[in-house]
Amino acid sequence: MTTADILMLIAVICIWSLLLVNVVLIIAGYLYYIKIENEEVPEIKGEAPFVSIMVPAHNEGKVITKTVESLLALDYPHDRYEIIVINDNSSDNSSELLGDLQRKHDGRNLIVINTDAVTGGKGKSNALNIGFKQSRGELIAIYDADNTPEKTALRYLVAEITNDDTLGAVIGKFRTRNRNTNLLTRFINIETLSFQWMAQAGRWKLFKLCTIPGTNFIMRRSIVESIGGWDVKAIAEDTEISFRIYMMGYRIKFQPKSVTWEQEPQTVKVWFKQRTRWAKGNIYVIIKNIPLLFDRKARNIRFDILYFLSIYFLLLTSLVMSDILLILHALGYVHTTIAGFSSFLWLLAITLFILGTYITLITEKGEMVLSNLWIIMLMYVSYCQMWMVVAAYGLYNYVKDLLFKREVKWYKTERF
Amino acid sequence: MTIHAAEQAASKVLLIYDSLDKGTTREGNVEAMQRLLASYGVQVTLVRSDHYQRGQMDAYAKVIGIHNLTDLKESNQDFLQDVEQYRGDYLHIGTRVPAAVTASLELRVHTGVPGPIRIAIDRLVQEAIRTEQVTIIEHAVGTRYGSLSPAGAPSEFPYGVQNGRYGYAAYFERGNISELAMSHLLKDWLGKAGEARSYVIFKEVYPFSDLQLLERLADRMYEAGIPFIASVQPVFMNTDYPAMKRYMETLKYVQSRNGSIIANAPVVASTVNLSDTTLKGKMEGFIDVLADYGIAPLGLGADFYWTYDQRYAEEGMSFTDSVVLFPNKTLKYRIQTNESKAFPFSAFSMQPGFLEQFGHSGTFMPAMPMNTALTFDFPDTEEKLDDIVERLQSSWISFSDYKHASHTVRTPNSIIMSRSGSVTINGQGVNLDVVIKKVSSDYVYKEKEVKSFETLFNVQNKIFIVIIVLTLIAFTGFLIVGKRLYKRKYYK
Repeated sequence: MTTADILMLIAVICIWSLLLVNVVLIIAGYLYYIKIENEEVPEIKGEAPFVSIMVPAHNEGKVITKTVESLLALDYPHDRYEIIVINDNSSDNSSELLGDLQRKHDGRNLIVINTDAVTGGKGKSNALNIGFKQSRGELIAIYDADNTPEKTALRYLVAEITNDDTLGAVIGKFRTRNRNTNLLTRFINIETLSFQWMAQAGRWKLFKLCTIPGTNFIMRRSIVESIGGWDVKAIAEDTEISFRIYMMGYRIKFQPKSVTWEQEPQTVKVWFKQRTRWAKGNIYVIIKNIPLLFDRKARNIRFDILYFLSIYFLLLTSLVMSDILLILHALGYVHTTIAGFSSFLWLLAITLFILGTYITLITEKGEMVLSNLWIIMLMYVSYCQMWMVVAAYGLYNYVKDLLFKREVKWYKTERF
Repeated sequence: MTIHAAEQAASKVLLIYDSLDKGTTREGNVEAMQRLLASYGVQVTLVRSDHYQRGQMDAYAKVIGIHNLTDLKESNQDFLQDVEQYRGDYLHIGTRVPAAVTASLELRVHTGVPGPIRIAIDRLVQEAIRTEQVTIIEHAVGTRYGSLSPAGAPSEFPYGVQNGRYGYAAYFERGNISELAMSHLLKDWLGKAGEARSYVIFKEVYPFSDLQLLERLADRMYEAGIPFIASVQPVFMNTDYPAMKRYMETLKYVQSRNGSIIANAPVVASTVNLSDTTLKGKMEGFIDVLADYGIAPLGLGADFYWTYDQRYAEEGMSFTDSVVLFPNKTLKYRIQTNESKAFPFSAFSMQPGFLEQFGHSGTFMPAMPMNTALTFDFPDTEEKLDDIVERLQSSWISFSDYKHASHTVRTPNSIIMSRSGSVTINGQGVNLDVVIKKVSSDYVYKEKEVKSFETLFNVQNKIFIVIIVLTLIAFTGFLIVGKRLYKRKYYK
């Protein structure tokens, strides 16, 4: 037994444990799906609360009009919500477009805050803090600038939060607007659906835990105030806020019937940039919150921290390590004598991945088609491997930032 | 001079040639002479006449001069003078006959006779041999060998002649009946007595050859009553693999069907690495593996040039006294030398087509003057095999059993001998009553490593399989339920 053997063993255990955890999450997600299918979304309890919808935008001229118009068209009482667009240090024509919208919808609560390099341009958290200062709503909703929410989206979220005082936030589902553009967007479509199924529906069912997805969610104003706004250093502000909400004793609920349609990256380059940003942000949040693992008050989010920790560190390092060991072994540099699982088991595991992912698609209209099976198989050999590179690169960037004390800035998703 | 030294001197020949005469019909006749001499067990020293040094021939009891060039005069005066004064046996071939030879044989020749020509020797005849201008012996005294005449001419002239110390033949080329005619002349000139024999040999036998076909060949030859030799390619590594066992089982069977086994020289892959001195060990290793398995390799089959390479001769051939020398294919020398290694037993390899060029009178083939081996490549189809056997059956040659002659193969671990048909390996008679044993393919090619965590993984493996199979069943159920829900929801 060599050191390489022990490393390999640890790697193999990590990989398989996470596989099993995800199987459990898929099953839990399925049960939640069955349950919610048969349930009506509750009505808003009492008078509709005033809601501030914040839309941080940085050079979003291409999509901002459509987004604001769909927000204006929500079936929530028009006098009971305001839309605050924080046009953060944009160099495109966003401010004109937004001005036009304001004139066109005179009489609606549409506030546009234009910032420049001095007052803004320091990232999404900073933009949200700026908007928050001007907001009046007792509930704060956030939509990304490239979203097209369905008419009912906000009403369903508000209804859930008014019916349950233990909820700090309610999150909806996001779908891929441009899913039929190319293979990459098809991959992303499948990825977002299955991620939400497992990480949101599954975790909610099992642990009453969810993570704010960054768009299409609502939360109580009091929470934002008590945590002092968004952490400007966290570029994955959503995960950060989620942890804070849990620490305050609230829960976050997933209401998949509230749907927004999001524009996803159409090129690998853009995708890579966006995902690296997420990965790096999540790594920041996980590391920051590791002490919570030993905090009695935070016992309900231990699973979350462990889950993220295992995905970004254990799984990643395990995969990378086992791959490196395999290559070194093949080249004859290291010697591993470790036994392995049978090929049959690996085959079963791959089948499990394909079928499991396919199951998470069956809730969505137009997704229960055979072609998705082939796409999942293709994903297994391409997209999933690309994610590994993303996570590794995110980790590398995080370490680099930590060492060189680089400032966090907008790594926004580029539009085309 | 002791008897032994005298014998040695007698079997040493200095072969002097003026040119290889490439590009003419005479190209290759020097090599043909070398092969003939080898088949008589003669050690040859090869010298080109312009490299000849004064007095060099005095060390030899026999000298052969081949003069291929017709237009140039011999420039090496030392050689010319030495030949005239030489006291040993001298055989001259070709043009510019030395005065001493002319005088001794009372030779009168007619030069510039145009081809084609006809040559006959000992009831064999080849008509219409295409060649350049030849010299005809119009008159000579001494023993005459065969006949040579312009095709269609009524009169016959001797092919060659020998008288006392001197011999002469005007014409000698490779690949036709002149090789046979020359072998008769050579035999007498060299003073070789004794009966020579003819053998059949199959080469290109590899471990990966069609072994069933090899068995069939053995059976067919046995049924036809023709003893034969298989020159088998050696194996240096993995000699414990089932494939090797199957190879040896078949060779053993061949041996039991009146086949004799000789080891073939390995294929020379590269001549670059001079420091590689593993050949001896490898060949001896192969011999030992065969001997241990009850197979008696009784010699070596090799391309002829091996005998003119110091490294091959020392390392690759010294374990045996018996060889079959094949015509050269590609020359890949390691350390080339002009002095050949001679073997007490050596057979002259003949391609099947060689004899078929000749017409013959009488039913039986006259005996060849030297040991010959009719050489076939081991066929790759049954049709070719049947064809060969039929040709051999209808042949007028009477083939001998190789093991009836004396052969010895010696390695540090084994001594393999044949004497008058009885074959022994380390003193033990070889069992020729053989049934091919089936060789099991169950062989651990690579020693299994002791694996760490094997039990852990075995247990986990089983657990995971159960878990995943159960999950897959559940998932299939989900899929069915999900499909119904989906239909209810979207196909309303």
